[in-house]
Amino acid sequence: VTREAATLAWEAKLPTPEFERLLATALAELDGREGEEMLAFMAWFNRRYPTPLERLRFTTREWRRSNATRGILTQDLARRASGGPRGTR
Amino acid sequence: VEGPEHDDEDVLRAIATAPVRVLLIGRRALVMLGAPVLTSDYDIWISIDDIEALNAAFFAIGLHANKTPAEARSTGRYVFENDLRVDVLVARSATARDELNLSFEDAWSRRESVDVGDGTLVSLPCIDDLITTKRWGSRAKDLIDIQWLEVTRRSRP
Repeated sequence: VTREAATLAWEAKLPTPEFERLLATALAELDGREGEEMLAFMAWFNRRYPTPLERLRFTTREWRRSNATRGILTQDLARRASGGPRGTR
Repeated sequence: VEGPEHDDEDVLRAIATAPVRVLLIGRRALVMLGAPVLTSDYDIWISIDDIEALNAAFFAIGLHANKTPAEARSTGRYVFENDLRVDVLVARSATARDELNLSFEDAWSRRESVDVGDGTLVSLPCIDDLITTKRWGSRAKDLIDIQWLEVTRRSRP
C-alpha cells in the first residue's frame, strides 16, 4: 500500500448505503473483543496522558514524528491489517 | 521533530477566551475526550456572526485567515494556516441528509465544557452531535472515529 493510495482510501467519501453498512458492522464489533481492546487501549492512553492538554500535545508530537518518517496513514492501515490498535502509531 | 512547533495551549486558550462561541470538533475533540487518535489539524465550528472576533483572537497568536469574513460567510468554511492548520466551519447548519441535520445553535445548546488541564475550558459538541458531524464526512476514517466515540460513551460511568 503506497502512502498516496492509503490517503485516498482513508479520505474518500463513501456512498451513503456503503457507509451505513460499514458503520453498522463497526458498531456491532464493539460488542466483542474489538470493543474490549479499544476500551483497554483508551484506558491506558488516559493513564499515560491524564489531561486533555497532555493528550493533545502527544497527538501533535506523534503526528509530526510519524508524518516525517513513514506516514501515519500508511501505518494506520497496516496496523489495522495486522489486527493491532487503530488510530495511533 | 521532538516537540510541537506550535503550542497547543496557546490555540486552546485563544479558543477558550475569545468572545466567540467555538465548538471544537474533529479528531482533536476525540483526543480531548480520551480517544487515542492522531491528527494534524484543529477543526472548529463557530457561529456565523463570530468570524471577525475569532480572526482577531487568532491573529494575536500569529494565525491568519485565508478568506475575508464575507468570503467565509459565502462558502461556509475557511482556514487558518501557519505552522498549524485550523479548519473553520461557519455554516449555520450542516447536513448531507435530513436525518443528519444539526444546527450550530442546537449543538451549542448541548455542548460539553472540558477543562484541558490548566483551568482552560473548551466547548465540544456532545457525543451524539460529534457522531453526527462524523457521519457528515462518510469517510473510512469517520467509521473509526465513530467507533472511538461509542467506546468513549461506554467508558463513562
